Amino acid sequence: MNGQTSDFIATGVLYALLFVIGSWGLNLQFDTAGIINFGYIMFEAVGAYTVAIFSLGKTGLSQGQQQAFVAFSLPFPLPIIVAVVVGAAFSAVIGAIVLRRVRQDQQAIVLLGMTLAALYFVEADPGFLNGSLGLSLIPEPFIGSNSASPGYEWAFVGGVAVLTVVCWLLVRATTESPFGRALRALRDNESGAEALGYGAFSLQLRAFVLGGALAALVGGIFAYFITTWAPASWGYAETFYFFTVVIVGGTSNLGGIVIGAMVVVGLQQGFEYLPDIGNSELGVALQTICASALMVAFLALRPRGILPERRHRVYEPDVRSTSSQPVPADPIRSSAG
Amino acid sequence: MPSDSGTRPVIGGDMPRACAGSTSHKSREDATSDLGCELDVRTVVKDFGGNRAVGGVSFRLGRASILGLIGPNGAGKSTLGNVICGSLRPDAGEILFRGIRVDSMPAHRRARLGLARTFQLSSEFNRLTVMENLLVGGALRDQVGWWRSIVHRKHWQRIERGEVLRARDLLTDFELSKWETTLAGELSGGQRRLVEIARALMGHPNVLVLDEPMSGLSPHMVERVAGHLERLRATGLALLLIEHNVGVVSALSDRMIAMTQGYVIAEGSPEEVLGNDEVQAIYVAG
Repeated sequence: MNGQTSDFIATGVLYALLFVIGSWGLNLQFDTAGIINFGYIMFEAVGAYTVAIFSLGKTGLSQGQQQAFVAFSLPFPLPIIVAVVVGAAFSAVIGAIVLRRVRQDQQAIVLLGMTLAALYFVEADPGFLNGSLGLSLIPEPFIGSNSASPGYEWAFVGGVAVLTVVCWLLVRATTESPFGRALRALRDNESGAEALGYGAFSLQLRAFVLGGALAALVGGIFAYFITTWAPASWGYAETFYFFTVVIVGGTSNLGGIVIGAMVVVGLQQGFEYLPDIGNSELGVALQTICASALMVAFLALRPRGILPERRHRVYEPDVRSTSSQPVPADPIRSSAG
Repeated sequence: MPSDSGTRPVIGGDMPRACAGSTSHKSREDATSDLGCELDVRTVVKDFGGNRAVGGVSFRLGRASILGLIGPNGAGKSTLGNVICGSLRPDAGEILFRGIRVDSMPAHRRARLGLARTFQLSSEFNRLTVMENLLVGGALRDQVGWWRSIVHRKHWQRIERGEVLRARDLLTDFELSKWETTLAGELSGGQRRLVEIARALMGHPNVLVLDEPMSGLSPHMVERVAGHLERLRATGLALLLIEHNVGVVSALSDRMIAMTQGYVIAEGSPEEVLGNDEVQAIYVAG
């Protein structure tokens, strides 16, 4: 395997891992809590820009003749930690406005509108985050601006893989807890859940913040990997790739979402191998067209995805005092009725 | 049309006299909290635009009793139920639950105080199993902090194990045991009604408001639900039964209220209400 192929594969694996983490976050909002967030990419952008301005510092900005409203030079991993905190705080503010003030069926369009407004604002004001050129020369973790050694990309991928496992444990613990169950109840019937004592706003806001924090984490890692972030990186179409991953893989099935991410990244990377057809933009357009067609096909023919949501377990009473392991719910007995 | 200042029937065969009625406002509040009067609805008004949906309805409901609320479509029964449970805010009047003013509280806070309800259109959680539906209604609702869910797993798992046992008892009572791991969305209409009632009971309510629980049920299922409601009354629960099926309501209720166009037209024992000329005119004509 030559270096170019190795880099290509490493990039594909990394993109898949980032899609997995981001789609788990989106799924927490979308299918666990019932919030349709068409502005999900905005929260990823918050994480990416935060990593940029907390890594570059004034020196980094001046080297690239860039502008930003604020800049710090913090060592890794502080910028990514700050990115997650800022992403969570940003989600809390946006969620507090949207979830309390906007009807559920209009939240998606409001969030999309906010994303477009943010995108155009960032593009229009170069003094804020360097306008449409974006921020570049973001120092890579551990090596800064030095040239990466041949194994660096795979080491990066390994680190993100470990982080993906941590996120899986966190998301799984969340969805399998009373908190996750309450969110699923709200998703199915908000009035019914409120009549049992659950405050919809408070619970949904927490899910929104969790999803936003995961999006910011993904954005931060992505900015580190490609060392740049600009408005072109967070067009609204990017959100639909995350939705495609969730819908194709299987809503509320964490393993299904991994498969969905592999399908979407495979589709994207596959176009890299196709010979040029027409103009150079056609390849990029075909990626989006195929992803959209895939999403529509699944919604029409297999709306629950490749791996549908599984029955969630309950903790069975101990028969023997020594037993403390959870017992999965019995197999479906729907045939009995 | 009756006036807005409705009379105040006191529902509940074993109601202590102090709850029964003609004391001062302050002492009546004390009585409701101390002597078994669970729900006190005082001159509640609800308007939609220029239309009066509920026109000054008042009643009191005591422990171990069933109050039947009947009336034709558009009488304001479900609106009154929604106002009592917090889905709608009243435009005027007061609602006291166990002596506490609740009329400005959101629905979920009323539920946590012990005011449970079921809905006219059943509100089961379709993609949760029957067991999960019941667990959502129980003590685990105090364990929904995200951090607590992650960090104090042993604690809520211990609570859940106890709740599973309690849910199984209820499922046995409601003859739903064999559906425990079935998704609620796969149940029949009657089974969903039963799941909804069982789920409401998981929260140990003091008052249960049932909005047309017999709607769409087979005669056999109606009998079963009626049997359950009688047993619940015997456990001390106060029930407000909003229902079209006059035969069932009159058989079950200790007291009844008949409404039409937002106003109370008759109240009293089932015999008194069914003997009322206006009620007879509505139901005979209907």
